[in-house]
Amino acid sequence: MKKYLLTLPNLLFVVLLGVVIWPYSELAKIDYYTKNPSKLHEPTVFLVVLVLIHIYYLVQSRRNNKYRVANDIATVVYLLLLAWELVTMKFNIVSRIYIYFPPPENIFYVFFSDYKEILTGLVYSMRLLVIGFTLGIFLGVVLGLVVGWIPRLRKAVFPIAKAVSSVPALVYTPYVVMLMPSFIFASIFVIFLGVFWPTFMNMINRVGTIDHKIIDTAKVLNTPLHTTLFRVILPYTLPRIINNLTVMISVAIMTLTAAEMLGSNSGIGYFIRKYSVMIDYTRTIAGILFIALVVTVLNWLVDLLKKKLVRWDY
Amino acid sequence: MSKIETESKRNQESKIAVEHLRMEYTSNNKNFLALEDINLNIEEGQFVCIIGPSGCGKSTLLSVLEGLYTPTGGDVRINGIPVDGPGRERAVVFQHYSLFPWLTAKKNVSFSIAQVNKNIKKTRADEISVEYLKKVGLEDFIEKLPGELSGGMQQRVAIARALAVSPEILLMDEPFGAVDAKTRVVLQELLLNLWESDGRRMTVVFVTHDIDEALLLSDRIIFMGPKHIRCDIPVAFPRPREKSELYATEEYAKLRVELVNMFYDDIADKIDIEGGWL
Repeated sequence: MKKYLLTLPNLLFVVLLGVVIWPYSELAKIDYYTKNPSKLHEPTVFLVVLVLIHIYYLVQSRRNNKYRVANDIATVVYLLLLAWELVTMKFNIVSRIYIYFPPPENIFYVFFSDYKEILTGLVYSMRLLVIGFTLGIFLGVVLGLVVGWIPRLRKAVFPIAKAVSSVPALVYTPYVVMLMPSFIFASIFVIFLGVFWPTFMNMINRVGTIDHKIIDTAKVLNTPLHTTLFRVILPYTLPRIINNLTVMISVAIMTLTAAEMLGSNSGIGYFIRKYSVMIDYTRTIAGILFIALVVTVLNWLVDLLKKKLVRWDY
Repeated sequence: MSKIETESKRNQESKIAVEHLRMEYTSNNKNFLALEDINLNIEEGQFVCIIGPSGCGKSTLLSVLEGLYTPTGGDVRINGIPVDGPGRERAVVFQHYSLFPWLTAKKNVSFSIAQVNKNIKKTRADEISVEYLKKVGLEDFIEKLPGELSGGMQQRVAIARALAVSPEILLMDEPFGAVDAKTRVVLQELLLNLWESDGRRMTVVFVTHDIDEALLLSDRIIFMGPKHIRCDIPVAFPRPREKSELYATEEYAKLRVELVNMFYDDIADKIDIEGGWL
């Protein structure tokens, strides 16, 4: 028990709580531009988040094999937060820095004060993301399966696909946004392309280089073509598809947020752009942190999917 | 030819008939002759071992029977019908890694059952699958994935998968070549028991390079040299065969010496032809 109590993260957690609760200079509360006390200055949300982080750490560190890793990660996170808190709130090093580097209390408070706008944006963005992403993965997998299976088609399509897919979707995003009748179409389209090409290429490759023993086995078992494609080759390629999902999610988020910064009026990318234009960096950073959170949750879902679907590849 | 004539021809023909078979590959724009003028008849219920040094074309011959390779010349008929790809009267056991790694032992077997019997219910296929997995001694590993099984166990699943479709012909391509010596003995006995206790007596074509294995299992040994059949040796030991008894007999020792000599002759030939081969 003693071993658990006297850890570095526990110590840092207590110090951090103390520092946040400790009185700070009144100057820090003043908004640089308006010269009025900042409406966002409210440490409760930050304190709640800290407690949640610590509970999560405590749960993770109780798992035998995770003890050291959980300790190291928590230590790094707490040190960063502590440094951030000290530089901004406590020592208020230069008030001019303050607008560029808002204190953590303010940023976490945005999640509470602006939750409606953030959630609306999330729903808006997720709708585009899910549609574009699903279409891209689905068509990439099915077309890749068919093209990869027929050698003549594969040899014809592969070099073309390779050339086209080497251009990142991000590059032609502005053009597509301008070209398409509505922003929704445009962003779904660029997300689709961003996800489709790599998935398609990967599928062709994987199907083309499939272990011939697998195919021979399917043949001698008298497996018809459609069963071979969807019940032999598809499961064979599934681990690769799922491993790529993590990368694909990053690609999709990247193209989506880029598109939103160009021509949207809602969404998580739009949130960041809107407030950075307004020089409200507290909300800008809150938006950035929020995207990080969303990507983390999505990746965590992919991991769950992986454990469920491709148990055999571990 | 009238229908009746065809029927009668089928009746008198061997289970597997190979005539003037020729097999040529093209790789990197070079032709490579793997088999030349192979003639072979295998009767129903026979256990035939094909034996020979590596590279002699024995696996190629089996692949032709499996329907994976199309011969470049000659005829191959099964039940009097020319072979055109794999067929449901044949089942195959490869040397290794032929199970689908994403399916459990049970599902691997029921997958194969479902391919041969399209209308079968999933639960019924699973029942048959479990039945055959029990026969090969895997009742405790039914829900395991191939990756969780040893090489020997994987081959047991492969055997169960082949037998579960009740094939007329079982084609085995060095099925025990990749397992350790001890497991190999156990698997040979298992196969022998399954085959001898089965009233139907499947026709088996078994490729191996292990002389003892061939002598223990087969009714007949086809000894192959490069690209051709060198000789055809009957193995008339009584069945059921017991390994320890068989090894003690004089006939066994005699036949074994004969075969071993043939193996070394073959290598001696190669030295003569190619010079300094060893």
